[in-house]
Order: sequence, then structure tokens, then C-alpha cells
Amino acid sequence: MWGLVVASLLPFVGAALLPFLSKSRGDNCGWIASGFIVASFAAVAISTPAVLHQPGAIAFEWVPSLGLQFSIAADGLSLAFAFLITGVGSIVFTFAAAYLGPEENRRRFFCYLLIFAGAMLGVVFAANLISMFVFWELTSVSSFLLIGFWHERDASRGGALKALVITAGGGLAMLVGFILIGSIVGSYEIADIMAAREQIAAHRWATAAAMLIMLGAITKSAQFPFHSWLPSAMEAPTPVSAYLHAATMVKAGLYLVARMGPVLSLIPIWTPTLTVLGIVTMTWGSFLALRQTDLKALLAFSTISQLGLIMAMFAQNTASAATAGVFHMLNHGLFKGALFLMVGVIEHEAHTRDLTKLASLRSNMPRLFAVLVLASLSMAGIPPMGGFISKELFLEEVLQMPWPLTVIAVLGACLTVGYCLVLAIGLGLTHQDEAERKHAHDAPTALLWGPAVLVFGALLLGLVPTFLAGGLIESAAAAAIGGHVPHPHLTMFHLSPTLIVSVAAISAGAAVFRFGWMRRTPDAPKLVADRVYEAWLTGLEHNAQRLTASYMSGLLWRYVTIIVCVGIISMSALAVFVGFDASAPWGARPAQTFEYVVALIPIAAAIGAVVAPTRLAAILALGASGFSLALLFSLVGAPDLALTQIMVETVSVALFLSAFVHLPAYRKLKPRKFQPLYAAVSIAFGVGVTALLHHARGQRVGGTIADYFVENSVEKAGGHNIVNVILVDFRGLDTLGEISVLGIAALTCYALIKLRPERKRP
Amino acid sequence: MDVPILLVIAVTLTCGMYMVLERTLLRVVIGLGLMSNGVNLMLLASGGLGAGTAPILHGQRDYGASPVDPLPQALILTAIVIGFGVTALLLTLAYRTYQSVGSDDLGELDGKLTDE
Amino acid sequence: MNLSSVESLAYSLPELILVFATVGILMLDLLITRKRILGELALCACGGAALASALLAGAEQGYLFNQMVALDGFAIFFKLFLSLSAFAAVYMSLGSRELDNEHPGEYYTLLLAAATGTFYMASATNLLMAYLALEFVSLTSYVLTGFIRASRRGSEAALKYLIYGGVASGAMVYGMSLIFGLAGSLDYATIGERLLVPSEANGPILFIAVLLVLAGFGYKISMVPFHMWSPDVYQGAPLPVTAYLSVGSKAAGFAMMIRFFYVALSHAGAGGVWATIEGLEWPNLIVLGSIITMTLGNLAALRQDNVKRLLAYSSIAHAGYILMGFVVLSDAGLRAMLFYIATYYLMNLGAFTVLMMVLNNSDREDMEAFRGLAWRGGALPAAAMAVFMFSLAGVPPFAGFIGKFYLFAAVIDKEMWMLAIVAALNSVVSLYYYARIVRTMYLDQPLKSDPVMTTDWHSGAFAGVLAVGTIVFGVYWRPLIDLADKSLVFFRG
Repeated sequence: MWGLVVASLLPFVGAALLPFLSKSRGDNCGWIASGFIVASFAAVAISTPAVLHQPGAIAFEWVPSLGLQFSIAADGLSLAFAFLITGVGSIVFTFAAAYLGPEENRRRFFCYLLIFAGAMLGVVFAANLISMFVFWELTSVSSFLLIGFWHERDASRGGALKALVITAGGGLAMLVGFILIGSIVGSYEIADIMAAREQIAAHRWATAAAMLIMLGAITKSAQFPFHSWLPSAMEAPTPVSAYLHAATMVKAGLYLVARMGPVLSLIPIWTPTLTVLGIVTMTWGSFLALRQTDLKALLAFSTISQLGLIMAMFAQNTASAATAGVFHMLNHGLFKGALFLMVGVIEHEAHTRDLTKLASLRSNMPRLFAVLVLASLSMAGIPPMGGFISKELFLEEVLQMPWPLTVIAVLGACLTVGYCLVLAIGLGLTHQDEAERKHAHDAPTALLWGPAVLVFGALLLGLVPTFLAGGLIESAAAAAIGGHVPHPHLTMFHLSPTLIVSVAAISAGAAVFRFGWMRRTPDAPKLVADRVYEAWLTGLEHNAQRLTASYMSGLLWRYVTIIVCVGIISMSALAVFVGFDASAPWGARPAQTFEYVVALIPIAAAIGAVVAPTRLAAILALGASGFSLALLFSLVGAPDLALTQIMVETVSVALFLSAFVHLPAYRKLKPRKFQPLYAAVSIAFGVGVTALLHHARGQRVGGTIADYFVENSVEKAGGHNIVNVILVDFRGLDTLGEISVLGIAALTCYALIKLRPERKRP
Repeated sequence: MDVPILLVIAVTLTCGMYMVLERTLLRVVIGLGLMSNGVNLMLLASGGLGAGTAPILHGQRDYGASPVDPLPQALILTAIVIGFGVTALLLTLAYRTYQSVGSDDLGELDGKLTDE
Repeated sequence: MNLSSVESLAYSLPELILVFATVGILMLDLLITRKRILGELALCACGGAALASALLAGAEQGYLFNQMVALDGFAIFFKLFLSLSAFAAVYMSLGSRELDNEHPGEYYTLLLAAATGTFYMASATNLLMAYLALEFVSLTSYVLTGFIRASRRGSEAALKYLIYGGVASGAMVYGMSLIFGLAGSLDYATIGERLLVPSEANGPILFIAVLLVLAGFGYKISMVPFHMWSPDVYQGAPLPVTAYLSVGSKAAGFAMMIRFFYVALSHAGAGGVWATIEGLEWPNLIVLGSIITMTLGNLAALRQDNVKRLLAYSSIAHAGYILMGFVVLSDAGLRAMLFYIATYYLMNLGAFTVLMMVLNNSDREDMEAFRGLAWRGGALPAAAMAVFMFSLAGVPPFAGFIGKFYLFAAVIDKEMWMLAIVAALNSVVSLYYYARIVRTMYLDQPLKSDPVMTTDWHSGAFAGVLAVGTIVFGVYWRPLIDLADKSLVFFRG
């Protein structure tokens, strides 16, 4: 087990040390990084026998108060993925070390790549959903930087952002699903969740959780209808594409489905939805692959298609299907890694990856062509490659499905053979262009041995599968279904109905290729899913901008109108739904006539302030309103208030009078739209607030604490004016606060005047 | 004293809000002044308009007939004082803005200014 | 304990330090010519206040100043946090080129005064005290916003801020008077007790009163529809002030809001679950506010090319996220809020610091100023900014993710599906615009005309510390969550 801890830490250690270890120009950093990943591979390989014998886990305390621990667990399933990550990784890293020229910033590149590898290992070894999510998002972020590595290209930047938004967004949905499961079980440890799977399936949140987690898996694995990010991400440097498609990133979705399969397949919606999605993705992806002329795009769509196949297998949660899934995943890792690396070599040597422009590989690059053919055969599922066996296992499963799915899946198999033949034969037979022939030369051995090793692995998986990977596949499949799996009998030679289907598919695929049924378009057509993504994005941006512009006008009166309207509407809604008592009494005591007369003064003053033609008149009207307020205060038994009001109002008026000379005279401003609206809003505001006030009165619970002050005013504070006692004694801090506010207001006024903009000198 | 005060509140608030929604800077400031007068009255009214006497004790325990609730008065005092502080600051800021922007039309202050 | 005004002074050391420094700076300003000392003094005062707040942690809990403010775990958490916010603002001001030659005496006085006000916002247990503290902070913020003489945008923003604030605080005072009319008290605990017994007071009027008080709080935390001032103000204010408004003043608003709603309008039940008082279903109202706030904030940020304005909108959106913890009425939700506010401090201040470095370097604050930042000498600021952006987007392994995780967990635990789904969708939208900045810094090529980025150690060190904090608390957040746990103590007599 400790070997695996070392294996998952090595890439991170490497990434941290790389800047210090490498030479200044980064010449050797590719080899140093490769050293780390090869060491990691060795650590995985050494630990394998023990783990296959007895799966294990190690936990470190992390946040004990929440029961969170940082734990890693390993079984066959994690190991199968870890083999791909470190094994294919070793090849990709060494390839990249030779492939990237000195003009690239290799140090940064290998740093990102190591973090990426480490994050993937983290995903497959995480024994806890939350730590798995952390590493999951880390793969999204590091792939964002890797895909955008060649940032001179526009497409590359767009692709990077799209990949990040789709995969990290799906990841977020998955997080919500994880939290749901965590809330049901009370733990985020995968082992606890496995133990509580019946409880989860019976819970009413089960369907929601399954859907959310599925969303995370299918966005990450580029399943229909979220497949569009993967072709856009092909702008990455070729070694990154190879790694992304063969061993990492997209494989994380498969891992999640396999890992959670035993739990989630108990929920009815899981298996059917994923199966249909997987099969549809497989066929649709292979159809689109046939229409590409860009080699990398063709491979990208083939990845989508193959992932669909594996996804459908893992979704079944049966022993035979899981075996097929694991085995095909291993095969896919080997041949897809090799294919991408070889496309990189072709682009490197011929400076194009357009199918229609490439000269014949058979005569130009014979060694590369031989390896390419073998890899394509494996992808097509043709003996003697490992792909044949896994394709057989797949067809066996498919034949037991409802017939529409069977038809679609077999169609997909035919199309797969078709595009594989395009690679294997099409590239060998294209017309010979003398001019190009002079430029092109066969791939250097330094670049070729990596793909050759991978393809040799794929060949061995075809010849001696049980010997090579039987134990691993058995253990992985067992983990993926959470039960026992019989030791697989993987063999090339057998007679069964699937063989007939297989032969038929191969012949149909050959016909597809031979007769060119699928018209190839010179410019890769835009994906429907791509268009949807872009339409969404532009629509969202456009509408968001319009929405924001509509209320963020910068005009103060509109802001205030919005707030007042929201207030009025919510209060009216409340009045309608709850109902106000309209018959509330109008006060305990009828008003006397002189009080009406007194009230006329502030009313007249307020109206006067509005209609006043000059600034001076308006200010005086405001002053009149303030002084009449003092009058009202004194009438209702508040002499202190009246005094204060008179003081404050006097100073205010003085202030206004001294300020207004600095402000311009009233002038006619151009009329606004909706002018009557503002009058209506003001009236609604005034009337509404007053009605509210009237209604609110007389609804008091409990006595006021006024009695306390009346009782204690003299005894404790020695004062007869209760208001004064409250202010200076019982609520001393309040008064201090008031004084401070006034003080700070004075200070700010001073600062503002002192800080006024200096007049520009002419 | 209820109905007259409610009437005063309604008219003062309406006029105040109407002026706040205008586009001349000084009128907005005056509007806010009116609003703060209205709010102070509301505080008084919601604390219970008594027919009582001023809350001043004449003897040891003798507080006249029935004093009005003293606590709202403390609240209103605070509000009056704060309102004054805000008004002072507002006037200064209005002056300063006019100095630097050169317009008292809020329609021209729509956040699209650029610094020279 | 319930101390009188004079006795309380012994427990007011953080505030006293700030007050003395405020007055001292004002005096010193008249005496000395080397003005940088004023800023350094302010920095020391903030540090001292933080230390003094931390020392209060062991003190007995209780009321101070005749039941006007409380001394409890919650208040101490925020005092510590708010002094650190002020510290950051002062530190940033010292490194800001915008504020050179701008009357440091008044500036630091006002900044420290605002900080003092936020302390009382967090600890007030009386509506009147809360109102005073809020006004105190508002008044100083208005002026700080318009502090730069040459900035027309700043003056304009300050004016709007003031008028807007005047309307909001008017509504708040009125709401307070209604509550006083209903409950007969301004004291939170007493209001809570009186309203706990169902009566005719718990009707629509109370609801409206709460709505009006919410206007004052919502204005401080920029919750929709009281958020419209913030983009203009954030953009117009000097950058350190913007940073302070988005962290310190906003956190104080949250503290005040939590204390009022949880102490006066709810009561604690068993197992860390709270219940509203009968007839006042305020969580529904705020769920709506939270959803609209985060959505409008994120949508507005989507196409924003001015990074300062973008951060303003993102700050609105984050207020929406934080409110998620507010509505679930549980200790888990409160804990998530405190945790998120603390992580928000790290990542948002960090983003502002990097923005300030770019602004100092190129006098620009738009997206183009970030173009290819990593490839023209700004590798470290760019890396730090990437950390802050991903953390704000809630991507692991950064602190922002942990904060969001706790918020989501609290909401899902309460089965508030709508809120959880909207928040998740919002996070995806926000990821788009945060990643756009990272893309601009890393994936866009700098033009020949773009200046070489020079990093001064002063701001660089600060950004570095914040970035390290963002990463460390993203991986090992136990101390922070333990602190938040300990701080969930409201003294209520």
C-alpha cells in the first residue's frame, strides 16, 4: 500500500522540484519529469501483487472534527486506471521530452503535466468522495492550462475555456450529488457508502443524486450531448492530447461510473440512462469521426465513440459487461495513445494533418505506417489485436439488449471499422505527390519507439490476454460491480453468434470505407452541440448585458424608484394575501380644530418646497417645515425634542444658505421619460407609508420599559427630566455615539472642502 | 392630534420623495431634508401619540398626569442629530461634486464619466 | 455580566486603541512633515486592535455599556476579523500610488474611524446602537469613496452613495420604530422574548418592519435591490477603500444582520437548529433575496471588461452565496457563513491587491491591463491572481471551495433544492468570467506596447501571503472551522 502512496505523491513532488532540478533553459526537464513518472509506474507495478491479493486502504487524519480524513484506497479498479496513467504516462512523457523543441517553455509544460498526472492518480486512489472531487477539479484546472499551452492559437484558448466550463461545471453538479449521498449516509468515505447502498437506493433523494453524479461523469467523459469540448481541446500539444484521450481526464468519468456503479445501479434510473447515452454516443461519435479530414479531429471523435462503448459496459453492472469494459479500456488506452503520438509525428514531419493533403505514408514513412496499421486494427476490432477480443465481449453484451439498442450499437461498430480503415489503408494509399515526397522522411526512432511499445502492448493483450492482465481485469471488474467475478477466459479463438456479427460488422465497415458512403467534408462541419454551446454562451452574455444595462442605468432617480417600487409591491402583496384591518380606529382622541390649523403649516411648507420657483424660496420652505415640526413636538409633550429641532433647524438653514450660493440657479432641464410615473411613485410612497403607520399603532405586546426609567430616573441618576436622564445616563454610549457621528461628520466636511480639486492653472 | 399628524406625514413624505426623484442636485438635497422631517414625525407617531404631559418629574415620584413614553423621544433625538450630520455632509458633497463635475444635473452623473 | 459604561472600558481595549490612534493621527498630522509615519501608526493600531481582540477571547461574556453592546464569541470573531480588514486596507493604502499626495492625515483618521464603527456594528445588541454604528461607518465611507481629488468619478460615486444610503437608513429607522412600537423595546434579547409569545403583534406589520430594517442591512451587504450603488462606488473609490468596503464594511453588515435576525427574531432549539418566531417567516424572504442577488451579480459580471467593476459585481454575487448560510437557520449555516466570510477575506483582498499592483504599474484597471501578464515579468502576481480567481469560483483545492462546500452542505441538509440548484448554476457562470481573467493573463500574448510588469516587494509580499493562505486553508482548514465553531456564541442575557 505504501508503494501506492509513494506513486501518487511522486508526480506532485516532481512538479514542485522541477524548477530547481532543471537547467536554466529547461533542456533536461523532460527527462527529469519522465524519471518521476517512470518511478511512479514502478511503484504501482511493485505494489500490484499485494493489492490484488488483498485490497487495502490507508487513512490520515485531515479534519477530525468533521470526520474527514485523507485516505487512499486501492483495489483492482484503481490499479487498472493507475497502470494506464503511469504506464501510458511514461511513454507520453518520454515522447514529449523528444518532441518539444527548445523554443517551447518545457519547464512549465512538464510541471503542468506532472500535476495533471498526480491529480488523476489522486482521483483513482481517493477513498473519500470529497478528496476525489478535489482531485477531479484539479484535473480540470491543469488540463485548462495544458490545452491552452499553445496560446498563440485562438482556437486553443477557446477550447481551453470551453473544456474548463463544461467539465468543472459538470463537476459541480457531481459535488451536489456527493453532498446528497454524504447527507444520506453521514459519511463521505466510499467504503461506508458501499456498505449503505440499500439505504441510499431507498432514499427519496436517490434519483436526484444519481442524475447529478451522472452529469459529472458524462461531462468529464465527453458523452453525448456534452461531447463538444473534446474535439475543441485537440488544439493542445499532441502529447497532451494523447495523454488526455488515452489515460487521463476523460477516463475519470469512466472511473467514477465504475466506482459508484455498485451503489448507483441499484437506483432504477442509472443503468438504462447511461446505457442509452453510451450507445448513442458510440454510434454518433463514429459517424462524426468518418466525416473528418483532420487526423486529430478524427481521433478525437473516435475517442468519444470508444468512451461511449466503455460507458455502456460499466453501466450494466454485470460481471461479463464489467470485464468487457475494463478490458476495452486497457486496450483503448494503448492503441489511442499510440495513434495520437503518431499523428503528432506525422504533423511534425509533414507539417499537415489533413487527410486529403497527406502523401502516402506507406512509401514515405514505412516504419510509422506499420505501427499505425496495427493500432488501427486494434481500434477496429480485428485480430490479432486485443481490440478484437474486447469488441467481441462488447457485442456479446449488446446482443442481449433491447433490439433498437442492438441495432444502433452494431451500426456503430460498422462505422468504427470504417474510420479505422481510413486510418490504416487510406493514409497508405493516397496519391503520390512528388513534391511532397522530397520533404517528408520517416519518423526518427526517438519518436517512434514510444508508439511502438504501446502497440506491442495492444498486440500482447490480443495474444496472451489472460496471462498478461487476467488477474487485474478480474479484480477490477469485481470492484466495479461490488461482487464476485469469475476468472475471465479471454481468447481469440471461439465460435459464437457474436463472431458472425463481428464478421458482418467488419465487412460492412470495409464497404463503408470502400464506397465512401460517408461524404467527407473539406472543412470539418460545426457540431450541433458546439452550436448549442455557443448559442447559449452568446445568448447568455447578450441577455446578461441587456439585463444589467436595463437597471444599472447609473441614474440615481431610477435606482431609488426601483427600491421604492419593490417596497410598495411587496407591501401591497402582503396586504392582499394577509389583509389589513381597514377598520383600525383613528386615534383615541379626536383632533381639535386648532391642531388642524397647526398641521396646515408643515403641509404648506412641504408643498411650497416642491413648487418654489427659486432656490432661496425652496430652502426657506424647508426651514418652515422644520420649524413647524418643532411646534408639533411641543404640542405632543416633547419639549426636549422641540428645542433640539429648533437648534438643528437653525443651523441647517444657515448651512443651506451658505451652500446654495455655490450651486447653480434652478434651470429648465430637459424633460425625462415617465415623468408622471415619478409623481405616482411618490404619492404611493407617502400614502402607503402613512397607512402602514396608522395600522401599526396600538399593536404592542408587553409593557414598555418606560416605567423602569420613570421609577429609577431620580433615584439612580438624580435627574428629573427623564429624556435627559436617558440620554446622558442610561444610554451614555448612544449619546457618545451621536457626538462621535457629528464629530466625524464635521471632520469629513472639513476634509471634503480642503480636498476640493485644485483649479487647473491656465 | 392623530389625523392632523398623519396628514402632515403623508404630505411631507410625498413631497420629499417627489423631490428626491428629481434631477437637480439641490432639489434632491432639499427632498432628503423633507423626508427626514417626515421620518422624525413618524417615529413620534409610532411611539404612541399621547395626550400626556412632558416626561419631566416634578417631585420624587410625582410625574404629573401621565407622561408620554420617553424612549421614542430619545430615538427621535438621535435621528434628528444624525439627520443633521447627514445633511451637512450631503451639502458639502454636493458642492464638491458640482465643483469637480461642473454640473448639477443628475442625468449627467450616470457613472459614464471618465477621469481626465 | 452586565457592566455600566465606566466598567465597560476595561473590556473595550480594541476600540480604545483605534480611537486613540484616530485622534493621535489627526493631531500628529499638524505636527509632522513626514506623512508616511501616519500610515505606519495606523497599521500598528490595527495590528494592536487585532491582538487586543484576540486577548479578549478568554474574557467573561456579557453586556457592556448598560446592555448596548455584547461581548461574546461572535463579537470577538468579528472584531478580530474587522481589525485584520482595516489592517489590510491600511497596508494596501501605503502601497497605492493612487493615494500619493492625498492628505494622509485625514485619510487614515477616517479609515480608522470607520473601523471603530464596524466594531460596534458587530457587537451592538440594541437597535439604536446598531443604527448609530451603521451611520458612523456610512458617513466615513462616503468621504473615503470620494477621497481622490482629481477623480470626478469618485465624487459622483460618493454623492450617489450618500443619497442612496440616506434613503436606506431612513427606511431602517422607520422599521426600527415600528419594531419598537410592537415590542416596546429596542434591546434584541427583550424583543426576542416579547415576540416569542404568539400574539397579534406577530402579524404583517412586524413583517414589514423587518423588511424595512432589512433595507439598512441589505444596503451594507449589497443585497438586491439595495445593491445598485456598489458598482459605481467600487469603481469610483480608491482601490484600498474599495477593498475595505467589499471586505470590512460588508462583513460588519453581515455581523449586524446575523445578530439581529438570530437573537431578536429567532430562538435556538436543540441540536443547533434555530426557529423563527411565529408568524414571521423571514427565511423565505431572504432565500429569494439570496437567489436574485447571486444571479444578478454574476450575470452583470459576465461581460464586464473593467476588472474593478467586475470584482464589484462578483462581490454582490458573493453576498448572495453568503446569504445561503443565513437562511437555513442552523448552526451549520452560521458556521458556513463565518467560514466563508473569512475565506472571502483572503481571496477577495488578494484579487484587489494584484489589481492594485497592475494599476500602479500601468494606470489601468481593465481586462487589457492583464493581457499576457504572466509573460511580461508578472509571473508571481499572475500566479497569485489565478489562485484567487479559482478560489472565488469555488474550485478546489482552494479555500473558496471549502467555504462553498459548507454552504452547499448546509443548504442541502435543509432540503432547499431551489437554492442549491441556482447556486450551482451560478457557480458555473462565475467560473466562466473568473477563468476569463486567468485566460487573459496566461493564454493571451502581451502586445509590444504593454509595459513590463514590475513587482514591488511591499504589495507582492502581501499578495503572496494571501495566496498562501488561500491554498493552506483550502487543504487544511481545521483551525478556521474550529474558530468559527467557537464563535457561534450569542450572549443574550
